[in-house]
Amino acid sequence: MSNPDSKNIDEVAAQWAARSISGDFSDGDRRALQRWLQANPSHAQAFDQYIEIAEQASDIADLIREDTLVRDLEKFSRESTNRRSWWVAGPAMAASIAAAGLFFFQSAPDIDNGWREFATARGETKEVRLADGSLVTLNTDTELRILMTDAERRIELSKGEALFDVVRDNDRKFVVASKAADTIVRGTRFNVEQTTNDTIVSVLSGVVEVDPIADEKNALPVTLIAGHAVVVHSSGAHDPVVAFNPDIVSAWRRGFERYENQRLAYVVSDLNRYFDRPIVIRDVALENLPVTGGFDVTNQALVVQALSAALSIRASNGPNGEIYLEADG
Amino acid sequence: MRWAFRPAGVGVNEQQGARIEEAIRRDEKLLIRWLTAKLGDSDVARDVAQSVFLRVWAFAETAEVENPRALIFKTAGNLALNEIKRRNRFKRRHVTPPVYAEDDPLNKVASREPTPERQASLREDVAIMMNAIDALPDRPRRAFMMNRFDGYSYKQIAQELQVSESSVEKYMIAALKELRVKLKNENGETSKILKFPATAKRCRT
Repeated sequence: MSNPDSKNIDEVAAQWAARSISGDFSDGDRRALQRWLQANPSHAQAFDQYIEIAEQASDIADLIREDTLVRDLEKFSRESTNRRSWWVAGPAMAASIAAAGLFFFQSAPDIDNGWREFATARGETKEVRLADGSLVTLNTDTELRILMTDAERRIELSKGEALFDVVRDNDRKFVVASKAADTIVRGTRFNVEQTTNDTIVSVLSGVVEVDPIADEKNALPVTLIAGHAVVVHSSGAHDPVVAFNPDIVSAWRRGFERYENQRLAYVVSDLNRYFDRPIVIRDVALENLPVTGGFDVTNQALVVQALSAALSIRASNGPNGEIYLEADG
Repeated sequence: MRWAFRPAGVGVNEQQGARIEEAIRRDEKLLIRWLTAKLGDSDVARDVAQSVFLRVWAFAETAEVENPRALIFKTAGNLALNEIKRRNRFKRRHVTPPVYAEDDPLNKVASREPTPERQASLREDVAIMMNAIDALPDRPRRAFMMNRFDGYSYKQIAQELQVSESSVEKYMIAALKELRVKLKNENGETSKILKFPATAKRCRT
């Protein structure tokens, strides 16, 4: 593999591959390539490997675009269905139509109206409809502010988690600025969670560009497509992109948190975002217990009951309102 | 309503045929409205919708269709993309594209129904490739993405990055070599890097 001859073939193969996809490949070039490929079977073999990579990359681009189109069609279909039932309901809906009109009137002039701030308490969620039709859903214990200008739609997420349903606007990008990264999109659906130091971006549809804030050499932008998530650290470094289950990430919008094989320590700290009374693990040995399941985050008693039943652990009350988890027996 | 009825000569079992007819009846108008919005031309939209339904019928001949609506939507996304790409090719050459025609033999291929497992394994493959691309040095990465994702020629990339065309070619060679090393290592094999459903379009003649 590493003798000088095959190394040279490899180099020439890469050059030919790069030239053949330049968008400016003449018939003469094509004939010369043909001659080189036929000169030796190893030439075609080396060339094929590079072309295959180039084609796979294009296939991925197509896949992303196709996926985006299908999501768009699904959304279009949902919206048409809604519109139809709206009309069928007729006069009975007059009040809500008036209310919607009023709402639109109120929210429309927020362009150049400065920042608008929104927050949720523990256990609360809130939906904010922007003037462009995009929907921002705040999860528990979250703070963000919104600025709509002619140039961009900007959200600053200082704390917590939010899900964004962004209406496409090619002239105005949609930016979610959080501690570790800016997330930049045109029109798509994605979730951003701000933990103490990290920013976690999960994409439910479309394509999202995640740009780390830190000005470090290792702080490179990441392109995410639907079904992919990334954790960006405040250092600017990011973990490898992972595939995730969209049902898990957006479950909170239906009042649930779902976990698949997560450590109890993680699950508890995640669930603690929802409740005033912190759950505390009192035995280190419990921290690594694997947890899989869904929890109703509107009811802490149920959560504690489910945890203790599933993992055979004992729950008790701490002196300052904490809920202690300890090994049973 | 025209396309709800299965075309002559299509052999589909009764039950499956009835389900597909119902799905097409329900979604035909919606699909044409959406395609008109995407493609800006209601005649083209009708033609593309027709191709979508023909493909769905062709698929139903050979396989069980579990979710006709998902199949219709997936096929519509695929054909709308083909049409958009076809137009962009002409736009880049500064000529007017001919009206929609099913000239591309790929358009005649029956649809594939997306199964969750297939989607998942595809996502894994995509993740491997995207991670490898993200790890490229900045300029090769940008050149590679512009060329492969947006269909830019090296000339256009050179203008965009304010470098010479030969520099762009160097970035591309560097990107290709780097990606080959990366993908080979992660998959442990030399020739087939990813088991990707290549749509079989060789650059070679």
